Amino acid sequence: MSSSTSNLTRIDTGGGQPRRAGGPDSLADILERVLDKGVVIVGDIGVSVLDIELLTLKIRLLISSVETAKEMGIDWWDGDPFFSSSARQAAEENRELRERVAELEKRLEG
Amino acid sequence: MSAAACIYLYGIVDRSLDDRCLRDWMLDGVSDGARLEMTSAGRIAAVHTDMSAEELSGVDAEVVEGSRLAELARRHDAVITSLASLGAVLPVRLGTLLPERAALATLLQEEHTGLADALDNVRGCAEWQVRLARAAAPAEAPEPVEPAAVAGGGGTVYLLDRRRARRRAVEQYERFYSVLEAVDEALALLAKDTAGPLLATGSARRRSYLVPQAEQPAFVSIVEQGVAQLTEVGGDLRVRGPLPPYSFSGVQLGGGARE
Repeated sequence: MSSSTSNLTRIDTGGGQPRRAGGPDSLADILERVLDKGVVIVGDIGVSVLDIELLTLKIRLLISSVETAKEMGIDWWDGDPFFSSSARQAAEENRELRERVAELEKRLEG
Repeated sequence: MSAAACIYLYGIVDRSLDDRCLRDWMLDGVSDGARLEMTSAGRIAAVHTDMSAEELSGVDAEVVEGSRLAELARRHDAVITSLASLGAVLPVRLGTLLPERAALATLLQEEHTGLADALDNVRGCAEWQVRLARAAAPAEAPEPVEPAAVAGGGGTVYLLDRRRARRRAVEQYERFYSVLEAVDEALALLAKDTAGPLLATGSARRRSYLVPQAEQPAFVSIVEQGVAQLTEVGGDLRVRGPLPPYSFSGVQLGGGARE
C-alpha cells in the first residue's frame, strides 16, 4: 500500500522548539487547513446548502479568539470597516470628508 | 433515498484503493452512522457518504469546540487525512454536496482527465505548511553621533550605547530576513510545488510546500535548523506536516459544461 504521509513522524513546530504533534490538532489548525481549499464544484450540479464562502468570513473572526487568529496570521478584519472599529471610524471620517469636499465643490460651481 | 438525501464528498482517490479500508476504519464521516463509500469512473474514485441536506442547512458560523461546524470540519479532515495515509488524495472542499449518485457518476466521467491529472500531480507528496508567527521587528537606522560628543561624559556614553543597541537591532533584522530567505529557498528547492508568496517578501505569513516523500526527511531537517536559527534572531517559524495536499487541489469542476 502506497503512502505519502505515513512514513514520517508528524511534526509541529512552535516557539522555536520543534516538537512531535502528539495530541489532536486545534480547531483553528483544522479550519485553517480545510477552509477555501480543495476541489470545488460549481454550476448546477452542486447543492448549495452550506455557504462556505460566507461561513469563511464569519469563522475567521471567531476562531477561538482574536489572538489565536492573529497568531495564525489572519488579521484581514483590521482593515475591514464591517469588523474593525478603527477601520469603521476611518471609513466614517472618509465619508464625511467626501461629503464636505462635494459640498465645497458645489459652492465653487455655484 | 428521501428527497433531502444528498451525497457528501470528501476526496478523489485512485480507483485501486481498497474500499475495505473504508469499512475497517469505522469512521462515520460527517453524518452520524453514515458509512464511507466509493464511486468509481475510469481510474479514479470519489469517497463519499450519504447525508441529509437538512444536516448542513442548520450549520452556522459557531466555531467553538463542540459546535456542529467544528465537528463537521474535524470529521471532514479526519477522513481526508486517513485517505492520505493510504495513497494519493485530492481533498474536496468542506461542505460539498451533490444531489444524487447519478450526478456524482456523471461528474467523475466528465471531469475524469482533469481529476486524474491533478491526482497524479500530488501522488507521493504531502503538504507542509510553514507559517511565520513572528518576524523580527524592524529597527530604526542608527542616529549619527557628533565626534565632539564622543569625548564628553555620561550623555555620550548613553548615545553610544543607544547607537550600539540600534546597530545590533538592525543587524538582527537583516540577519532574520537573510536566514528566512535562505530557508525558504532551500525548502522550495525540495518541493515539487509551492502555494503562496515567498515568506521573505515581508508581507507573506504563510506558505505551503508540496513535498515528495523522498525529500521529506531533508525538508524536516532544514525546517528544524531554520526554526532554531530564526528563533535566535527574534523570529518564530511554525511548521505543520505532513498533511493532505489541501493547497494543491484547486481544481474547479462543473463550470460551463452544463450551460
